[in-house]
Amino acid sequence: MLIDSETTDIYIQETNQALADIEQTLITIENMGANIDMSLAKRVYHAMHVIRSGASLLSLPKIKELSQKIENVLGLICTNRLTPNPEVINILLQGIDRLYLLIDRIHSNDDMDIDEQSVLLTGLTSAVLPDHIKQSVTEVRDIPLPDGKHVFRIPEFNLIQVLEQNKYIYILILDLIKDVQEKKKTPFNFVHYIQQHGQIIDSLFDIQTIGTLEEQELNSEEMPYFVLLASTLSENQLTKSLNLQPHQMKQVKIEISDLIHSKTKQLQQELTSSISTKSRKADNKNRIAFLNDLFCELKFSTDCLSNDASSMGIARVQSALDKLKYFLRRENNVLANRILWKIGRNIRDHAYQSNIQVKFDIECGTIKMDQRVLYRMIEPLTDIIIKMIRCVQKNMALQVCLKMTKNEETIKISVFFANPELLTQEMRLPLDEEEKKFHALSAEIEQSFDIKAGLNILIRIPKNVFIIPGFLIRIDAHQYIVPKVNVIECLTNLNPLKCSKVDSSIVFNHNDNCIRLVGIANNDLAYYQQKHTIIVCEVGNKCFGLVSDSLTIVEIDAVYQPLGKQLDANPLIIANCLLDDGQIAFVLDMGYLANI
Amino acid sequence: MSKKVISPGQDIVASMVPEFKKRLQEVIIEEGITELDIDLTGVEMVDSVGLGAFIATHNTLSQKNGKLTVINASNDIYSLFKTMRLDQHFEINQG
Repeated sequence: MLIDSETTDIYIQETNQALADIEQTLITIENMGANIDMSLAKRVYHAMHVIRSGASLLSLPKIKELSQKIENVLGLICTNRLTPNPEVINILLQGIDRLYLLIDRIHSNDDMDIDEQSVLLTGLTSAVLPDHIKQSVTEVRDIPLPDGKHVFRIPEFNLIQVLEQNKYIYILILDLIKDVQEKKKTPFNFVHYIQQHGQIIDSLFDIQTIGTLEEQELNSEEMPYFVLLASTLSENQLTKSLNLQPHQMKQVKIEISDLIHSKTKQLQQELTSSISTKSRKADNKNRIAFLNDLFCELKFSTDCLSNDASSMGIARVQSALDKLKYFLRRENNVLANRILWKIGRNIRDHAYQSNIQVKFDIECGTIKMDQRVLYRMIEPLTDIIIKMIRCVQKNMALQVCLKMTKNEETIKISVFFANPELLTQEMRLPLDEEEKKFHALSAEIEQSFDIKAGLNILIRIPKNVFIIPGFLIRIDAHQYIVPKVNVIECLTNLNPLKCSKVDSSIVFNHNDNCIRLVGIANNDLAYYQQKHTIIVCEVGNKCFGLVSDSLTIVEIDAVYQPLGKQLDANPLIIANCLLDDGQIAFVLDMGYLANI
Repeated sequence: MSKKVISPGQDIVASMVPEFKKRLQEVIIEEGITELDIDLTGVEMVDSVGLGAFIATHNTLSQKNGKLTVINASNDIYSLFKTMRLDQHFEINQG
């Protein structure tokens, strides 16, 4: 059966409408948080089911596969097994965005991949499951066929999903010659007819019986074909509808009885409870054990270092530090898509507010980055895309793509229009503010334009950046960063009278304790009495108060940049960092200050 | 390994299958071809008997450690072969 283009056009039109409804409903569901309106969730689930069935009928394998995966996730929401938090909704929206694109390109035969969306959706399906069900995603169940020769091998999770939808599972025993050819049907029509009555979980031919070209000449033709079908219809209804003999159908019961009785019950019991914390506890245990090992190694190596500062001793400390660096990188690095999806939401919100049509496509593959960097990229990337959108006339449907690639040292982020012809003349976006924010992450940004490729914003960011969590303070005319690790307490709104000179030091009386004050410029009492804040620091066994002009202390994750030659000789500072506003902040050498 | 492409150029249905199978036998058994591509350009339909011919060809080639590949399958035929899991036996490429 060939589907005429009119049918396909109707499908495209209806699916686009359905996707728009699903998209809006998902956002409504997200805003409801835990108190979701189940009727809305079920509406979305059924709408997606219709899209999948249509794709199946029209032989659109990728649309079918992706909509099936979205449907699986929606099924989990409908059965209360998955809370539609923003991350879940976003993964669904990403899948929907890709469905839009697939629908757009139905006629172009464009082989657009769905791997990234599939991985996220499947990950969601398995990640939220309790441990014993999680196993079912990988565990395979054998369902032997009545001929005793063949077996269907199906992931248990698929079977559980089907059972939860109150479907029965049947094996259809067919012969394509008797049941199809002799009844003047085509296999295509026949298979689609079966699909209208249920979901084909799997199917197989008995290819041995069909034989070779030579064997077929001798034997009468026989084409045994078995289908594993999930359907809500009873055995009688299905036999009648498919015009089969009773012996051609067998309900699968015994082979999956444990899934019907045990696992689904167990599952229901666990639905209301939170996700199993076992694996998280195990993870934490491993982390602590690893940190403990590192602690021991650092302790032993520094003990040895105090006796013998040989190159071997230094190498040993360095090796422990490298392991710690690797550990921290692993802890902080996450899949970029897990955080950058928020850009998609920002763009979507902007599109709704501005009443424009924008699709956003993000491809990050399996690239991982420090989550602190990723969070800081959301705002400037969103701003860049909004500026790009504003360059194009309001009534045009746009698609903006963000593509991430990597090489050994650098991660490249390209932002461009999928339809570059929208911009007919060269243009340059004012990106000064965004540039500053990317510079603060040690990243470079450049924009290019050519008639074919259109506008392209390229950001190059080092794969590994060294982040210093600290406090940003102002002392005299400059900004400094005090590493968090050295800070014990911040004292603000000071009473200047509490400062006094004892011997050659200035001290501050705080809760009957005298804190020795350290300034970076002057050491007369009047200087200290003008300061608003004291940051109480500890370095080694020394405790001191660093005076600052800041009224409030800002916490910051600064990206380390080595000092240039001119500043290298300054003993006060150890590194510098660029701030989001383009200004420089110096990282104080706390060891030096402690010894002033 | 010797390779050949066969292009039936018409629907693979019961009426043409005996002739088609004869041609396939010539190619595999007489010419000793072990890597066979069946080009489905211009093929809009495959009936049950036609499907049998593909499976028999696959079986014959497998006995000779050969390989069958279906190329340029239309969307409908590609989807049919996939649904029937024939892609688990031989490679199928869309046109």
